[in-house]
Amino acid sequence: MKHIGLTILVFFVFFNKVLGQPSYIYEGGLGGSYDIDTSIIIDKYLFQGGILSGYTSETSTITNEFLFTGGNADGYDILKSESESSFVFNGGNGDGYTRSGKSHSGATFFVGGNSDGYDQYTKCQEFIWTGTVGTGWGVAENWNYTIVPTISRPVIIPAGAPFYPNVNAGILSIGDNPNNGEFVCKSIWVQNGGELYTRINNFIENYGMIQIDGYMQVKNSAPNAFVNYGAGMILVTESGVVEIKP
Amino acid sequence: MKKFLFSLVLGLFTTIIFANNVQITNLTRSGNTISFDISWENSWYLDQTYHDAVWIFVKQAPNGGPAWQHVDLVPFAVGSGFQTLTPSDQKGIFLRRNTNGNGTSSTSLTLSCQGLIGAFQDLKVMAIEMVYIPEGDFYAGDGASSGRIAAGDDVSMPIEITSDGPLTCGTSATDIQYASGVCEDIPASFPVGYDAFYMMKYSITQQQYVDFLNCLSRDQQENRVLADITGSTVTNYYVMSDGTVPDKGNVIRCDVNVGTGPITFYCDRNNNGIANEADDGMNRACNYLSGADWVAYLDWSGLRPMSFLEAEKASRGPLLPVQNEFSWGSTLWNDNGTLENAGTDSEKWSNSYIDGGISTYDDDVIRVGANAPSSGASRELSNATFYGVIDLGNNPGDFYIHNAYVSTFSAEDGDGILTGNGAANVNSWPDYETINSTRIKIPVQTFGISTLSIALTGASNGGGGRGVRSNF
Repeated sequence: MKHIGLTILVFFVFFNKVLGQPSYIYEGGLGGSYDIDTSIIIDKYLFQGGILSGYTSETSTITNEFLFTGGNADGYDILKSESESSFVFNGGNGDGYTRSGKSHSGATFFVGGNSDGYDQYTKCQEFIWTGTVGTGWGVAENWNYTIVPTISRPVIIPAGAPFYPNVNAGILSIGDNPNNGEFVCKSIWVQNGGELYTRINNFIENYGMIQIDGYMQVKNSAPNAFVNYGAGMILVTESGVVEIKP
Repeated sequence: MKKFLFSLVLGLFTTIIFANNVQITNLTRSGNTISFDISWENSWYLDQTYHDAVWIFVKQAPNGGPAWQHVDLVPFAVGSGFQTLTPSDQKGIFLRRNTNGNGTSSTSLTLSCQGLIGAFQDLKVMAIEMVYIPEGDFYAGDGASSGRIAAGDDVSMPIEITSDGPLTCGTSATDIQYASGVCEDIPASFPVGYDAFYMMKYSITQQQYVDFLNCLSRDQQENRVLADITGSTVTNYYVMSDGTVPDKGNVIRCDVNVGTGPITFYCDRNNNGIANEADDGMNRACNYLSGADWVAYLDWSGLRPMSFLEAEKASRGPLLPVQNEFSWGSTLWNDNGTLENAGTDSEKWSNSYIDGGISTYDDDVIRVGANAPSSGASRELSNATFYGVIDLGNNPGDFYIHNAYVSTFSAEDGDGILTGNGAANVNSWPDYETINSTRIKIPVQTFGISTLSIALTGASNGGGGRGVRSNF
């Protein structure tokens, strides 16, 4: 028992140092040294002694909290526990300090899924056609910020402009511009009542999005006058009209 | 006597599940006001003590760019069942549930943008999932790990942190010491982890870092990647690992011909030159970060670095330490298996959901959260901390502010603005542009979460990180 006595001392020191908090419980036992017979406890930390010597416990029932129970031999070990919603350390019937296993009572902790915990949304400011000074796409004064759209710029052509854009020649590129088109934008939205005209010497290359709620006229009979590439999309809604003329 | 230190493991919140897959949709703008829908899966809120949240911040490109600047935010409206928290510096907002519940969070949010510049602006809205670490006592040091913090009277014992006050080096149980190295008193200005803070649930992802790079000027970009990108052509176009093929799972690259203006970076795991395909690895944790890269990202995003004590608090919670435990609360440690669904949003190891405690040290990084199963999860299986932070100190590793900076570092947040060279410039943070050696938590089998003696030099495959914020 000299060995056991040392064990008890060490544990006692440890508990007081690390676990010395008001809500913890330390209970003595029925025999020698430090033990306890049975205990029922709710909403507390629990340390229990045993029925022989050293630091042991026979049984315990515990709800919603931590659990340590001793065993039926000596030293510090665990015999049995009945626990709800708690992690359990179970010892054996030998001596010293043992820990034979632990179990999680909740199976849905720390659930994961696909993808990750990050997202980014880019909102590029639209350029709005004003048609203030004429029909020229490349004329800055015809746009709301008096800047001609670049390839990154969504374009809106609304109703009510004094003039509507006429693209008479060159390439109008939407979404991408691999062939160095003279007129570019990221997307075009011709709103209901708005109008867009492309003429006989103009070619449209669409890699982006063209939405027609209003009117679009393509006056070029060449087979490559209006081509949709890759992920390009053309959406003509119920109110929209696209007229192809020779 | 087999162990002097052992753990009390608890299962307090059996109904809690953990979040992922945040999504912003339907962003509209009216004047200085933006509105959008936002959702994230598996969120939770339990009596405020346990909850997750999303950190939202905005960048503007006056007159369409190319320069991007931080936007201060004031919340205007939020849907029922949610609340916003606005830090005093207005560098972003936190969005969280405000009643008990869990599952998919979905709401609409309207924000007022402050200080917009130029005739018009392009806007980028970023959202990062965060985990709340509540105020409270905790134990620091595990009694065994290399260089650990310890109680002053016994280097084999942890020290209990019971306030946000200063800590003194000494020999009593309430004093601090370290298992090795010089002890320096910790002033009250140093974040000791007692106060509440939010921590990023996952490491910075590769898409996150790409989005960061793509908001920088060319001069700034040149200092935030490892490869030489100073010319109009780039030889080692996998710019983080400085090579011509992906290395250790890092897939961030640029084109060969990049001109002289800001470079557009993207992810390209299969090296086919097509950006951001579904299997191009955008969701992978970002490695090959240096300490300087790490703090630059955090300054730019309005967050800050975590201290060595905050790392332990977030990992262990109120539990007693386990000797040499990792952030998932035990010493369970397994090598990763073979890679499955490479580069996709369901990328995982063959032993994910099976073995638990999967270490990626010195191997490829993988999708963040790859080890967290959709059901039957546990801390060990999911590599989760007590509060639900995933892979803290793992996949790849986590930089932190260590005990050499206790007298200078404070809980000062980033302001969204970097130097012209792309460096963090928050006064109290270490200057990693010149220090070049950064302490890191890495899951080597013999070095647990309490280890304070591992450092990386420059940018290497093990270097990664995440941010925290305590001003909210």
